[in-house]
Amino acid sequence: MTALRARALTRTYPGGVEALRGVDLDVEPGERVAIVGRSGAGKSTLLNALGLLDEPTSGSYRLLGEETVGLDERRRDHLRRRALGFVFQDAHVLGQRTVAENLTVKLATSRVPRAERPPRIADSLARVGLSHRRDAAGRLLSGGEKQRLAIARAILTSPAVILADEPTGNLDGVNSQVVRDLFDEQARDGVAVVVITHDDRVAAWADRSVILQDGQFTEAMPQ
Amino acid sequence: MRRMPKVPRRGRNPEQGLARAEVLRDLISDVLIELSVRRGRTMLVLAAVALSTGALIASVGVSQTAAQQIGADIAATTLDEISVGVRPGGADQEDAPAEPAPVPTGEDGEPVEGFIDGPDRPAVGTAPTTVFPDDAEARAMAIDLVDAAGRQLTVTGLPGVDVTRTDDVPDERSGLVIRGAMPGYLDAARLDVPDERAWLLRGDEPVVFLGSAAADQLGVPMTEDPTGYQVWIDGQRYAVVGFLAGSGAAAGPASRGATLGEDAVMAPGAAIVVIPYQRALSMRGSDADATMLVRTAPGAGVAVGHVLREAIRPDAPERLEASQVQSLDSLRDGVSTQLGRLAAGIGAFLAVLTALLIASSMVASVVARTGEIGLRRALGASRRDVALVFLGEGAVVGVLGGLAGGALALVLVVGAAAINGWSALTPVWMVAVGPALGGAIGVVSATYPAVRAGRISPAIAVRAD
Ligand SMILES: Nc1ncnc2c1ncn2[C@@H]1O[C@H](COP(=O)(O)OP(=O)(O)O)[C@@H](O)[C@H]1O
Ligand SMILES: [Mg+2]
Repeated sequence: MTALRARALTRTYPGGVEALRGVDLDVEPGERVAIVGRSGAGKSTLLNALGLLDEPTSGSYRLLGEETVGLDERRRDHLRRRALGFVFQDAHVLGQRTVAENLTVKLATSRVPRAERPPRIADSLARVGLSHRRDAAGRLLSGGEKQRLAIARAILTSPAVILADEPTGNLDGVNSQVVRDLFDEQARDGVAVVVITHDDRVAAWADRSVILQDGQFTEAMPQ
Repeated sequence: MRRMPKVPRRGRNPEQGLARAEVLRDLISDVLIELSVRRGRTMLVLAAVALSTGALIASVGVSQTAAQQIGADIAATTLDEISVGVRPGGADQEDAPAEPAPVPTGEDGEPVEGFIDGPDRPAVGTAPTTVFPDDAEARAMAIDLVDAAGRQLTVTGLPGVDVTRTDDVPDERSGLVIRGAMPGYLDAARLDVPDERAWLLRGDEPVVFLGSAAADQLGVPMTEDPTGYQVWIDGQRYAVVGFLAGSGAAAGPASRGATLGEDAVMAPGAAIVVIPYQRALSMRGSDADATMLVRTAPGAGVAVGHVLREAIRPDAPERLEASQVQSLDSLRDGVSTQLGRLAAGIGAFLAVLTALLIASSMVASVVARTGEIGLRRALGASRRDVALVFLGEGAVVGVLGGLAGGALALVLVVGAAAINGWSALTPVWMVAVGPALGGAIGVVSATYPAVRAGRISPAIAVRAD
């Protein structure tokens, strides 16, 4: 089963902008896909649709085999909770909360029982190398640390798909490499990783890159 | 190793079955963290809730205390009736008959078998035991500002004492009260009898005045001149000499005589038969159940009440007890209701103001937290989850603020009472109502911000650009 399968996805914003104009995309478990394209090409719109943060105007989108277009909101919330992990350009770390508390928000949202939380948090932090920052306030983290925390949060509930929008956009080369390594690890575990990027190194790293232009894929660039 | 997990439907996965209590706990700790993070704003909102709920509760509390006080003041200034009774259990030898009736003895000096000591009614000719002196009315009237005073003694219910039209055929009657009264009693009770005939009650003559219901039951027509009509009381003929008129008044507070119908309202229309006081005293053998009704100039009731017992029994004022007649409850209730409405109006205004304040502060907070809300939605939080965080914030701030407000109100009410020299009314509800009120205000005012937070589009909220 493909992890996600989009067919003829369109998204027309209320103002009339056709941000997506018939996108087809298949991503297999463990596959790393990079989506590149100029600003305004519709990359974020596509990622939001794949992440069930936004409803496509038409088309079909199957996540883990389940059709999501037209699905009721509760089920979409549920799928986000259980199947997806997000990493944004802005790490969206809650600055007033500690590193551990940031992770607790995700676990509580996913209704993970309290007893299971500390080991999961410890495991996640160990994976991204932030164990020593467990009790630091989010606002005190460096840019690279914040993004590592965001990845720790994304992998906390073992999602099937990780969706990342410019995850290395604010990072230097070293930290960008760290992020790629972490995604590699997830991909080896069978997680489908979809990354929007301007970063050539990220595009080169992916198993497959697709170019989005004016809401459509123009060519695939197999590695 | 490749995973292709299917996401199970809710409820089929044991991991989904997080107890409701734990979800609530997560929500509360989330809310508390949020509130402590924004400590400054939280303190401001808390203070606003505390002030408004405090003012609301205090205004109700102070108005209740004030109403009680004003009611007491009005009662004191308009009190004009006092009832004087005999304090129970104070009989002493001096008041006892000079010569106790000797117990009959047989020839051998033993008491006659079957003789019952302490008969219900004294033998004819035995002097009654009295606490009120014979000139009690004159003594009371000697006090300045006393307008009328007179004793009454109800004899209804005494064995054998009954009233009928004829001596042989007992009629069917119900609830007739037979009361001995001094002329001043009718005056004090605001009752009139025609042609100034009240003096007839002063002596020992067998005469009666009838209330209209009593006249009706006894078949005595209420003509101008009832001469010739007679009733039988206690085996004696009494001449009907008039009927009661006037406005009437409550005949004093319920007292020990209540079982004898003494608390019946003395009104011209009552089923009452009034006989001379001395006759009633002879029937009862004691004035232990007698009361004297005293009417004073308006507002003089309290002052007169202080000196009345001393004036009547200077030698033993403790044998008497004076009670003030409370007939102004309705007036006091009116004052209380009006003040209460005013206070409730001010309180409602304050509550609305506070709700608007919380709502606007929360809307600002929702806008400021747009990114966080988008993130939470991306992490899988539903609209409801997001809205609940804000509702929870409103509830917690409201309850805590209301708690402080209740305490504040308590201090204000006690303080206001102390400054004005009132006795404070500080019921327990005042403390309990604070959190309830504050919580309600908090939840209501958080509703709009919460709904707004739930409507935030996650796709837009997480955008970096
Ligand atoms: N919420 C929105 N409402 C209207 N137009 C939008 C909205 N979001 C994006 N767009 C437009 O859709 C197009 C694609 O935007 P976006 O997906 O953000 O592109 P990218 O991420 O590739 O830069 C752009 O023209 C943008 O202005
Ligand atoms: Mg973008």
